[in-house]
Amino acid sequence: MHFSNKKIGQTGLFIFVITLSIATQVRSQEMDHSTMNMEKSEVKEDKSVDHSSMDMGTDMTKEKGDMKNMPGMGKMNDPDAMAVMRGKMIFQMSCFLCHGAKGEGDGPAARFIGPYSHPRPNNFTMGIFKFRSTESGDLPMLKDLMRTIREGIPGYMPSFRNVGEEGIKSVAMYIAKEFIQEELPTTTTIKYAKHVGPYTYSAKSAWRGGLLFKIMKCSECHGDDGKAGRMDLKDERKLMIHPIDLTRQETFGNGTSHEDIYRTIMTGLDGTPMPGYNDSFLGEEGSAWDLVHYILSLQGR
Amino acid sequence: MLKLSQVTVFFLILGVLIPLFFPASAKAIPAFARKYDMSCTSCHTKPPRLNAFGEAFHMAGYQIPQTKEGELRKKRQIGRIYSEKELLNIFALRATGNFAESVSGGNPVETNLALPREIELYFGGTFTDDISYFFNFSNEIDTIEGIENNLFEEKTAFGLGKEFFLMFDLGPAILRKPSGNMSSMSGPMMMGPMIMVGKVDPSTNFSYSTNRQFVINSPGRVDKNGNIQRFTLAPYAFAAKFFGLQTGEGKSLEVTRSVLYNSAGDFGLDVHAMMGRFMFQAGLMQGIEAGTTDINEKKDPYLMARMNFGGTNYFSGSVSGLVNWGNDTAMVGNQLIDWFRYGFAGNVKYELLDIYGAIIWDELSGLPSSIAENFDDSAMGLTIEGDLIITDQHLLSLRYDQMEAGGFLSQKADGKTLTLQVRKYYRDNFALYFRDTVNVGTVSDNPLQNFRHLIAMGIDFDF
Repeated sequence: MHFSNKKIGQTGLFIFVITLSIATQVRSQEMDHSTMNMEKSEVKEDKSVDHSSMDMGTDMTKEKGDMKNMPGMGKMNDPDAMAVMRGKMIFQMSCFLCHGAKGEGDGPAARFIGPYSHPRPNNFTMGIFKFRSTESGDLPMLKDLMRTIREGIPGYMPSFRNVGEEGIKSVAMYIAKEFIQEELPTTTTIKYAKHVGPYTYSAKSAWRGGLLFKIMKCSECHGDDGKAGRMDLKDERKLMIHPIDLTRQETFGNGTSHEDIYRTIMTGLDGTPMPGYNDSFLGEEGSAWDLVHYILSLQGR
Repeated sequence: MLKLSQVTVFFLILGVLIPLFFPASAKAIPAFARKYDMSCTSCHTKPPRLNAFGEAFHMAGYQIPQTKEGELRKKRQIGRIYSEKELLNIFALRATGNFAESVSGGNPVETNLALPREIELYFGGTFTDDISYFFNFSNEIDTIEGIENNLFEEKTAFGLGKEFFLMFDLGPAILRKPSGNMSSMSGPMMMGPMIMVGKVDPSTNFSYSTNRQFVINSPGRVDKNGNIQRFTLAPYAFAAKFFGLQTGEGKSLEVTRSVLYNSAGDFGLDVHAMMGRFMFQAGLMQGIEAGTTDINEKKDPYLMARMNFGGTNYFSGSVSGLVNWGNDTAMVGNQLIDWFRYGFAGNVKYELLDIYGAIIWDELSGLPSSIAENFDDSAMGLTIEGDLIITDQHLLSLRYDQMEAGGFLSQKADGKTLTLQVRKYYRDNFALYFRDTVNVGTVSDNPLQNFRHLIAMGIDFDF
């Protein structure tokens, strides 16, 4: 090779920049580790406190409460803190690309999913969730968040099933703690009729569902044949949204199983024009299965 | 000049009819999108350019980051080996290129109607959690191939496409944990190291990737004597830039051909890893268009470092720096020479605006003393592009290219072009485009400068 001093100088400068960036990164990692190690030692210390308090026969609950009042200790006294931390790391490797580092749905890839129309990645801080098993307007339960993470949203969000149940739960806990910042409900007031006995599929049930489809004016948006057409509606962000084609199960964002469709009818999809019909079926929750059967019949299922 | 064939008419009719028959709400999608039940724009700003999620997917070896083959429902598993249940989940097809061109202001003035220039077949996926593959075959119509003695020919060639490689995730072996897997909370947040072997496009990790162009190259023209009439219009930053150069194998090298690190795909070996916001890449290329055997037995090493930034407010970006040493990789006269390439690239994405650019310098050394006085041994190329998604169906692109060429003083000329393009997406995977490339520099008989306007219509279709 016959490289000049100029080229060697340029190469040297480049290598210097790389070295500097590695050094910056390593320094940053060291800081992260030291923080992590400190937190781990806090957990260890926390366990020793619990143990000694048992030995002394004191009120453990009170002791924990006292620990929470110590600077920096309250967070780590939470038995789920490590899970939340793990959830944070998973979120920061994958989820932030769409949902944004602050969970506001403004990640670097977010705008390209629905440039000028629905959907966009959810802004968790607004507290509006499409996929719930709770009443319209309520926050989702932890299991609802986990279901969405596990199953994904066909067309838009991949399934994160292979992160594992523990990983899925930790991400859901991180989202709840960091972005929603409210206690999630653990139960729902909606009564779900089980898909058994008189509520299982029959041609008569599907026929009754067809009547309900018209009486409840589902056809106004989804069309008489369920194929929806191109009705232009707006979501809560004022983005264009179209009613889904009920004959094509791949468009069902909230899942395609019998139970998924039942849940969607009862809860609605908050943030979209699709209302929850829980009140309409109050006391006759089993009748909602007729509607489910009708929708399934539109798909030949 | 007017070329029109029955096949061309067939494609034109097809181009008009396809959008009419596809329902607008359908998600039409090549292999990865089919496999993961996602739309094209989950990974692309618009195909083929990647958004931040697509880059992470690519970095993870064609897998959703952290999931390690997240859609097992669509796969069979035999021990550690996966196989697809449906061929369509690993197979994709892409047809691109101008089907109508009009060149004015230079010599020759021409209007052409032709087939979409390039049809590519892709097979991509994973064999195991840690081994992925990407096989590309292509059929290129009227592509310019160098012969020798500064002569060229237009050929239709079918064979290996731009990329054809295996990718191995060395993370589990080196770090004792899968890349990006946070099962352990200790250690740096790393992806890789990934090693790619085969025909690779190293620039796929650069802030400006050679292969992911909205402004698809317009093919050049060669007369029947083998003299080049007009060079291919391609991003000047990545181009060879030297007039009168030959490859190490003695074939004429087109001035606007993407070469070395920025080749669209040459044989080599590439290692890259991501650590937090930083990516590091090193590799060896066989030599410019050297094929699987390198007669010079010297390799062309490169180093690249990239830093990503952003993550909120729909904002992201990256800056990259590159050095690339070409050892005996080209010839002037009959003498092998060394080629030193270095440069920077940057990319900023904000909301629906995507701006990216690269500036690359090239220097040759080891020139024969008899030629050195008449040969400019340094060159520079600059390419900056901005894309804006102006509606769900329209993409506006503006690109500026500048080349301060090197090479034989008697042949060389500089180039400056400005391209304005509008793409209409009938579906996420089907676009027609209209563009005007204006030579904003000197118009002359030089093959780099002999046009004022090159107006083109074309197609970009993925299935």
